[in-house]
Amino acid sequence: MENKDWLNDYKLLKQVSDANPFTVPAGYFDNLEERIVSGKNLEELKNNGLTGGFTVPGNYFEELTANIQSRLTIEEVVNKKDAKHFTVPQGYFNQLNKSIVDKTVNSRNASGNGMVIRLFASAAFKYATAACFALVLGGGILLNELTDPAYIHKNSFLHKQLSNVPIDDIKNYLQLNVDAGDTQQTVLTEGSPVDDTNLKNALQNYVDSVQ
Amino acid sequence: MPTEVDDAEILSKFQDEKTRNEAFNLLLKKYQQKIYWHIRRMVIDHDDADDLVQDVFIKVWKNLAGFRSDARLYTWMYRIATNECITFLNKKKQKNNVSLDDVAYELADTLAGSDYFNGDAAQRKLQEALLTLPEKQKLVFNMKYYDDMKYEEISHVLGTSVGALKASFHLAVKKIEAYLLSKD
Repeated sequence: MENKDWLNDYKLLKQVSDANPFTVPAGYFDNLEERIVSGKNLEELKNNGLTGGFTVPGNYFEELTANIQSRLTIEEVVNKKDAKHFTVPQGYFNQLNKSIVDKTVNSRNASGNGMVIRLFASAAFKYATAACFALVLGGGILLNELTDPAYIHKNSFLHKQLSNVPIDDIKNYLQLNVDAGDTQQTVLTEGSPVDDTNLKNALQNYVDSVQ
Repeated sequence: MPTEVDDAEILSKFQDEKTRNEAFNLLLKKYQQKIYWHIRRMVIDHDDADDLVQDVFIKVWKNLAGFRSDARLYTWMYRIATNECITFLNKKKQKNNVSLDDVAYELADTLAGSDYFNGDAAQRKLQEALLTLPEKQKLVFNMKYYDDMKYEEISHVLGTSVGALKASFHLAVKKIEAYLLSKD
């Protein structure tokens, strides 16, 4: 011990031995160094083990913070986009259903004075509609009559002319002039248009010959 | 007795990757016991001191590359050890949810039941007296009384002015005297 002159001022403390009263287990300091080095090596191994031999691209960790912040910003913007910009008073949707029912079903049941609005209430409109309907119907019937084969036949020259010839005369004519070839021709020309001029001349000749 | 390796040589070897482990072994040989006893006097229990001394030297290994040579190596290591002790005692206090006084009582019990204390009655009484002191006064006293450190060196360890250290030390000694007197 070196300069312990200060102890002269403290008699009680000076009487106490300044030797180290603590002890350690036998051989403790013999292997303390070895244990500390082992602990140091273990610590190093643990620190190296964090990467597990993997590496990262250059400046990865320098850019990682910026990348994470960018992602967070994007997420924030997306979330804001998805969020509803408008708000409703507190409890609005809880009251909405009740309000609608009150103004519709409950209101009709309570008053019984439902208002019926007629879109076409005018009498003139009704008559005009009926007239149009009748006109369309009549037009349709007329068109149907005019295109009817029987009507066309009645108004044809052949019908007009033959209707003036007595039935017996027609029978006599056919018996005298029609043979098997005519029947075949009749079948073949069925549906073909009739030449009114030739027919008229033929009939006139027949009439003249009979008279 | 082998001559101790100079701190400058240890630091020089530590700078070289090839001799770094050798430097650390030299450092351990030179300071392990000093650091151990500094810790032991603070935490009393040998097992706690054993854990802490290993933690201290692992921190020394991690941080030695950044050590500034304008400070003395052993005061720097004492500072690390002191901080580890204070952290340990505070954790003990928080873990048991007790005050520092209660921690002192607990340490006194540890001292009483320790197999690794062979001091006489007066020395035991001195240790009991030390346990009643605030941590800083206890540290100053231990470094001055047991390690014969100068105030300037203690100042580097604790980061406190020499004047304040002197005041703390004399206050500590007076309290110890009073304790020894009261128990006589």
